[in-house]
Amino acid sequence: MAMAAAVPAIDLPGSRQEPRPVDLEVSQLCLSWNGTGSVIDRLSFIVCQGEAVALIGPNGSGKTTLMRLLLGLVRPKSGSVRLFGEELGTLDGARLRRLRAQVGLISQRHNLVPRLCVLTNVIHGALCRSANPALWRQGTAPRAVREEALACLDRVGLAGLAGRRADGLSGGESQRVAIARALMQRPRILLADEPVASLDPQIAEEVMALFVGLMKRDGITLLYSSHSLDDALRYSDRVLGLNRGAIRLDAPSRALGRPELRALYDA
Amino acid sequence: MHDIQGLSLPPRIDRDGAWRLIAFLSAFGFVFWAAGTIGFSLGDLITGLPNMGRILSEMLPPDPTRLIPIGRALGETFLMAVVGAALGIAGAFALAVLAARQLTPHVLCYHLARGLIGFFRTVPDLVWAIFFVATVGLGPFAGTLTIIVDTIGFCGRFFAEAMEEVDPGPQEALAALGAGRAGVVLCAVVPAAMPSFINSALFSLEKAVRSSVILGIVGAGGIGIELKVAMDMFEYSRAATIILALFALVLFVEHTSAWLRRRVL
Repeated sequence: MAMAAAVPAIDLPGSRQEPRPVDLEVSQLCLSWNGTGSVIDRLSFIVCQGEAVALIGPNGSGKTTLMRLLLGLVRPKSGSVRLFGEELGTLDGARLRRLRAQVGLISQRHNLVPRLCVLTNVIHGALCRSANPALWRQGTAPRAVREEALACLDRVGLAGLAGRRADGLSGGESQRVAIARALMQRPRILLADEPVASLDPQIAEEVMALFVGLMKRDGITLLYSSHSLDDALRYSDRVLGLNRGAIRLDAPSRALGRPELRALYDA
Repeated sequence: MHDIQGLSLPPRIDRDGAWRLIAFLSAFGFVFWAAGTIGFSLGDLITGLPNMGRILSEMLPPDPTRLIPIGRALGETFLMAVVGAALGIAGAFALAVLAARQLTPHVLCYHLARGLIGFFRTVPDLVWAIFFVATVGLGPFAGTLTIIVDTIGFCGRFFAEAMEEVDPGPQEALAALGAGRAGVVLCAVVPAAMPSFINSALFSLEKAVRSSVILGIVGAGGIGIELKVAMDMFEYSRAATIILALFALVLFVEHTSAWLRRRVL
């Protein structure tokens, strides 16, 4: 694997940090659908190891599309995405899968497999490390994998629901299981696309605190999109503001307040 | 009353409605014309009623003397249906993965698989039975091959469509974490499409039992040949026993499959 480049840490008054390796580097990224206007317009930014970055912007600003581009699920028109120093566009299927194995994804819709039990859904996180068919169902998975999955469920407070079918869970429980599946993956970076958008405010707050807490404890780099300005300010180290497919704001969250973020939506 | 001067009501029959009426009347007229062309005649049906009554009276009481050979032929019919449907369902699944738009490895595979399924489905089972009797000879093996091909045609399309309709979210989630194609298909697609698979598979088993009765008429094994011989020899009471036995078998399969559907889905 290529070495990741090192960049200076964000320089805020009173904070001097050692340079940290870059996990994600986006450079001049462009995308348009069928020749219509740009969905993503010459986008460039970096995310350093262990950083928590919030991505905010109005509906249709390109947040979800950007997440898909970062995973190589959509091919850009031009520009590049480098993950851990490797450029996605140059990788073949097997190498892309190996790289994706280090990237967790949590989406707004949780995306659990509905008819399977919670433990099986969590075990699926280990599919990134092995194509062993024994991992397809919890009943056939090796004991160590089942125990690791149960431990991941315990970390999100749902060890008691391991045998329940995923389609019988509440929205908050589903999202916790999705977080457990991401933990099972042992990712180096986690992308979360509006992870709590479908939850009621109280549950959303609980899930968000749990989610960011777990990622920080494990030293996992985090890039999450959100419509909640409070979540963006409270949980991130840095805020990226996106509007009409372009970066309009890139600043440490400590240097920002609600008016600056609000202005992004009014632009 | 509220003044509506200057406002206009929509026409009672809009342009689309007029076209729909014309289409409906045309279809109705076509059915009438077709019925006349093929010699559909209520008069002939009424004239034939006494014959129908005579045959029905000769069927009663059903002849129980040949119950053992009839039972043996019925068992063969059922086994043909079960083996043919099981192998057909397995073949249909393999082809359906290639025929599902989001799972196929290549667009050429997609068109080939869709074309093959369409071909298997559109050629009637009796034609397949004649073909297999000519290639592997008379007997239940030809009938079983016919049911396999017919089931692939029937289930292949439903399986592929069920897989295409599955929520893409879980598939994308597994693909995004680096799972291989087999992992995505068997962990995300198959479990979600399973109710539809089971439904189609059980319907195909019912269909296979009904088809396997007819296949005997062209020599492809099963009880059909017994029925044909009984009718040709004017042994209507024996034919009645066979028809009642068939009715019992089809009823048993339909009830079992309905019970399974309730239990599994």
